[in-house]
Amino acid sequence: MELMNRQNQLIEFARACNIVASVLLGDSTQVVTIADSPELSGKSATDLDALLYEIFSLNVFPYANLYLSTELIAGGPTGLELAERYRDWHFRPTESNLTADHFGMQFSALEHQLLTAVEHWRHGNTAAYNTAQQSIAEFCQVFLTPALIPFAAALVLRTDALAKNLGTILLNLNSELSQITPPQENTARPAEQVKQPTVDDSLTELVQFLLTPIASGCWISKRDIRDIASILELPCGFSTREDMLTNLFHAAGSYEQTIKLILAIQEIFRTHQNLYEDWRPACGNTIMDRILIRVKTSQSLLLALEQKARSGDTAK
Amino acid sequence: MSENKIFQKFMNRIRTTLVAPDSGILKSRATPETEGFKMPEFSEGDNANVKMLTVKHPDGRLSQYPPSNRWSNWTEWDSKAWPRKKARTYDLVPTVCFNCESACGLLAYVDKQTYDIRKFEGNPVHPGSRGRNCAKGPATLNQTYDPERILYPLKRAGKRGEGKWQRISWDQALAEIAEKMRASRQKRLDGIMYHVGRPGEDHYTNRCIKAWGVDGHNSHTNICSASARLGYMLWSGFDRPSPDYASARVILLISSHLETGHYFNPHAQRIIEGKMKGAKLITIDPRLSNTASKSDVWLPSWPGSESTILLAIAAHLIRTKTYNAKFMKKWVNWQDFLKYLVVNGSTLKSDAAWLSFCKTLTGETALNSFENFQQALALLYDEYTFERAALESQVPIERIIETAEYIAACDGKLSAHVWRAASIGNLGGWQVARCMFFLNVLTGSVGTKGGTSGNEWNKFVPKPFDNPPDFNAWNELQLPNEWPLAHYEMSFLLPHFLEEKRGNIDVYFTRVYNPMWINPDGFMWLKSLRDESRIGCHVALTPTWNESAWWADYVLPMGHAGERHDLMSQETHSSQWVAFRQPVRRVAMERAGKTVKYTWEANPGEVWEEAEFWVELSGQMDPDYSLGIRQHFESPQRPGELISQDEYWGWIFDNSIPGLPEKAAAEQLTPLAYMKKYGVFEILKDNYLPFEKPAANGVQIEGETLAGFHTPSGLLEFFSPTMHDWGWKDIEHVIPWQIKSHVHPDHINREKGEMILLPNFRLPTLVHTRSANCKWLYEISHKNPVWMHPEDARRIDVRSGDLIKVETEIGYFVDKVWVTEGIKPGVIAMSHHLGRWRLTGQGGVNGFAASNVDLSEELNLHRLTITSQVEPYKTPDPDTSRIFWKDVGVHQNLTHAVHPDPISGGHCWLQKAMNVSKATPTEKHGDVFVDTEKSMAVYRQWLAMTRPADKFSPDGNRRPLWLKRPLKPVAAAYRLKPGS
Repeated sequence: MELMNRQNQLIEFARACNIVASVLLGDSTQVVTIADSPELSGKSATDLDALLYEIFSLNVFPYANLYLSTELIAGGPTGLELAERYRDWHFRPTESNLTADHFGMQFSALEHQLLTAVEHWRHGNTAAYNTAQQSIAEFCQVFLTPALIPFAAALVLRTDALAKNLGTILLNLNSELSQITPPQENTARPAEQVKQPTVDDSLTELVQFLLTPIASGCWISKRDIRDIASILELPCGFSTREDMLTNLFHAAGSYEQTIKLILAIQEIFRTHQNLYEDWRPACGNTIMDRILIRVKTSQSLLLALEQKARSGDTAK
Repeated sequence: MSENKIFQKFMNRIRTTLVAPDSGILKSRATPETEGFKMPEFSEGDNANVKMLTVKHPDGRLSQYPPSNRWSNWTEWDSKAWPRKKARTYDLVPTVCFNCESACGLLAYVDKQTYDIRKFEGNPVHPGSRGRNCAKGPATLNQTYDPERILYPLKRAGKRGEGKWQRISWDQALAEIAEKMRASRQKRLDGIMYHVGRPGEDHYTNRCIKAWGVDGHNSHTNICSASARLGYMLWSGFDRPSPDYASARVILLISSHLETGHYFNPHAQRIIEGKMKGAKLITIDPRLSNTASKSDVWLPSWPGSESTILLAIAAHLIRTKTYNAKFMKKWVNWQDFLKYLVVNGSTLKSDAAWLSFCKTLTGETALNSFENFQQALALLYDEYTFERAALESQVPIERIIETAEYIAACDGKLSAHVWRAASIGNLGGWQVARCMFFLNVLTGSVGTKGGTSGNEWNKFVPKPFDNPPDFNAWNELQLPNEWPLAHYEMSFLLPHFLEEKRGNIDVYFTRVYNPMWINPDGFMWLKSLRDESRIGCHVALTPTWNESAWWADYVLPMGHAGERHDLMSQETHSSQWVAFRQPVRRVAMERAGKTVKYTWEANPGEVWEEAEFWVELSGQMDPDYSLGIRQHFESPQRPGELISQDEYWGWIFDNSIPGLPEKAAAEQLTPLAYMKKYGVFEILKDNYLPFEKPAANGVQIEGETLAGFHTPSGLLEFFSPTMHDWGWKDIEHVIPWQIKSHVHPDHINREKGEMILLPNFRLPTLVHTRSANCKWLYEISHKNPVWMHPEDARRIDVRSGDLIKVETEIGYFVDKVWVTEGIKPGVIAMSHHLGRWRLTGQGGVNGFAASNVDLSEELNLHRLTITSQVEPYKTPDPDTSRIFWKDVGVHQNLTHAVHPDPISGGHCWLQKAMNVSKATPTEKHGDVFVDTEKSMAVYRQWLAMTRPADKFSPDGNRRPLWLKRPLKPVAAAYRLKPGS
């Protein structure tokens, strides 16, 4: 009976992965499943579709921005390793135009592997079943969790209910999947060992660092950047996050608002730090410590930038 | 709801059947409350979205437009609600852009319930703009919903310029102004003056002025196109070119027409079309404009050397015999030139070959020999070598040779255009146009497919129901004795004439015109505008505040593109069309069955339109018919009553536009209904070589009577008898030749730090002073730093962003510098459009476009100082609180001395910068200083170069009868007064 329940649970998780993957890939027909909250009651399909578009296409892209080389360039060794993992699972993505680090892709892969585990169980292949379960937990701990937590934080910190709901669901689902087998020790990836930034780096390097969650510990969205721009009454344009933040730094320099801009970014990191502390019980100390180390590295960098700006040296 | 509960609910739903999503229709949201100015509101439609029409453009590009059969009930998703699908239903009303003179078509999306305008897009059936617009067209929406616009008639309450205004009714404004006009008209025929910026229409107001019987039309032409016009006029009798870019083999531009110049959008799209078909684009411009950057050849010439480059190319065509001799023999007045040489030939050049040739010019046979003319050309122009052109222009010789070779191979398809730029920049700039058109004549590219036509061939101005008689008056303040060939009124010298007490004005209308800001020597204007003995009453007809209007007595709000009636036609390509500008809210209301008597009832606030205003004003000016005015404004259908707009335009569409009644009838519409529906009608296509067509009153050529040209000879006048007869007999005046510019290198001592200030280049997104209420346009471009070459920057030790002081003949200004290789060494450049201001603590020009300034004046010394830059502010439009820019430029024109060309009368914009230096710590951005005593001194220097009519007129007239004037008086008015 217990094993039967276990099988059903895996099927439910697979279905959950299927739904969040669909939503992350922009399929609005599934969005109603995650929209069950008072704030979203009465929203039509068009409204939910629009909200989904605003979240993923305009503000918080469902890419991990994680699997990068040490120079923070896409297509690094971890990304290739992830693609290799998909092949090992015999998972063939239907969305061939997406890169491996798209969260929708990762949850699709998880769905595939969960159903594989169930198949092994049905066929009485216990060893394969255990291996499949173990690979799911490992996948979550190694690849998904370090990136998903900042991403979920970016969603939960938004004001709209749909994003909050989705962020919460992703976080909890990931936590459940990670618990399928006991946590692995020392699962840090080589790609996390990114170059430590300094105040003497170029603006391009600094922006890239701040906007890469694996490096900075924080998923800064377009909405975050626009909100800062609006508060400081500065232009940031409407482009990539990199361009927008770069524009914002330039504009802040032109209008002597660099210090205010740095303080505003510091506030984003402070908010994330508090949220991460709240999430310790659900996510576990090991992973949260690793993420908070990144946040602290970023905060040190921002503090140094602030001091530099206060000293008047903002030539960069 | 706790986080865990969200997840649990999610998982529970997974365990159960999913509920179908709600697909109900969205409820409309409440419109945010606004105070004061009404922001637009839009109703929700319940129609289905309508499919767009896919149109393939001649350049191969596809665009999509609403099909015209659905314009009266067009539903589309609300773009602002995107990605939500919210249906809005509109009445699409065509109108015509008012933000430059191109007359591009617009389609206004008028909400069918609220009558608010959602947007302006291109009118796809407009043959000139073909559905496309530049940034200025859609920005009409900003102007319509500008929370700082003038909404009601205002009357000055304090002293002039004090900024105290009283709201009055239109009735009061009409009564008071009409009374002043009546009093003036009873006294004299030159006391009322209408001073127009860009007319934006083709005949309406001129008809009104004629009806008043006064010589009262004043234009801005002499700070714009006067010199180019004269150059073209002397050649051909038409005063502006109409290049056929799309079919050209070579496109030759002086300045940057493609991206900023005349007829920006209709021309730019056809230049690109021509380029895509393989045409070579050549741009002569000291500045690396966007056009130059897109050109096959960029010739960064020293200002004033353009004629030399053009003549070196002409000399190449002559030397290599690659010119179209057959065309020239038929259409050029070469025999007149040979006759001129008989008398003057030996004085033109002293070399033996030339003198020997002149001796052969005796007898009838010699004077009728085209070969002699060809020889004369070869001998005369051989001095214009490529080496000379390269030396004078400081352009690499190989680039000039390359240009010449392209033009030699153009096969009658040279599309060439100059309008402002060098022609209005230099002393003798009219010869730039003469020299340029010389290349058209030499290559036979006149009126051909791919060549250059005359504007009159590609423009159509219909006749109205009534044509008042020509007036019998001559206003010396407009066309004074000293400039008999001016093209046209000497408008920018009006304050100098008033200073000299040549006369005064009773009622002065400025219409969408800001003379103090746009003209050179603006403080001279300020002196006149505030002096009631010079200008008795100043009525500013304007859609928005401007610097000059602040010193007016009445400020009357007139409509923008979607708020007025006008009829326009422009020479955009080889075609003739007329476009109908309409008050779009009024049209939509009338379609819905609402009665609108006056357009101001449908416009925001009480914004009116000139077309109705003039009718009412003229009627009140002459209530008893005693001045012979009122009858010209009465309805032909309703005797004794003033004409309505529908009656006026309906008559024209019924009677004056060939083909329109038939076309309308085919759609079972009246011609007026057709024009209201489509906003445009094309009369003629592919109007090539019209001068070759037989015409009863034409010119005799090779045994035929052909239409010819509107010159005295009916031919293309290579030799200008007019110039010769009016006292300009030298070679540099009678044939295409170079005139030494006032900024010729000989006049600029660069070792002393002197430079040339090129102050009149345009930005593609602004339109002089008219766009200061367009937030979108100002967001794109809002400051005008001084362009400076790195060599010059090093010399005076400045970097981009540093302040520099530019000293002119009459004062100085301080602005930031932009160091760039995009400008020639020795030349600094500054955009024409920016540097708007308003007096500190007072209103005026829009807050996002104008610096607050202090104005201090002591006798002849005038200072303008910026007290605060632009910053965000609150209005009903939330965008004004999002302004991120501060610097809105420096008003350079105040420091420009007037340079009236002694012949064309055009202001020669290029300024000699006496010194350009790094600003001292006490000199601030935007500082302007002018000594108006020096202004008058420079004015007198240029005045002394003129050849007045009373001394040089060959026939006792003030001006050649054949030369154009916007409004011509009767012939008797041309006669010089005895003893003058």
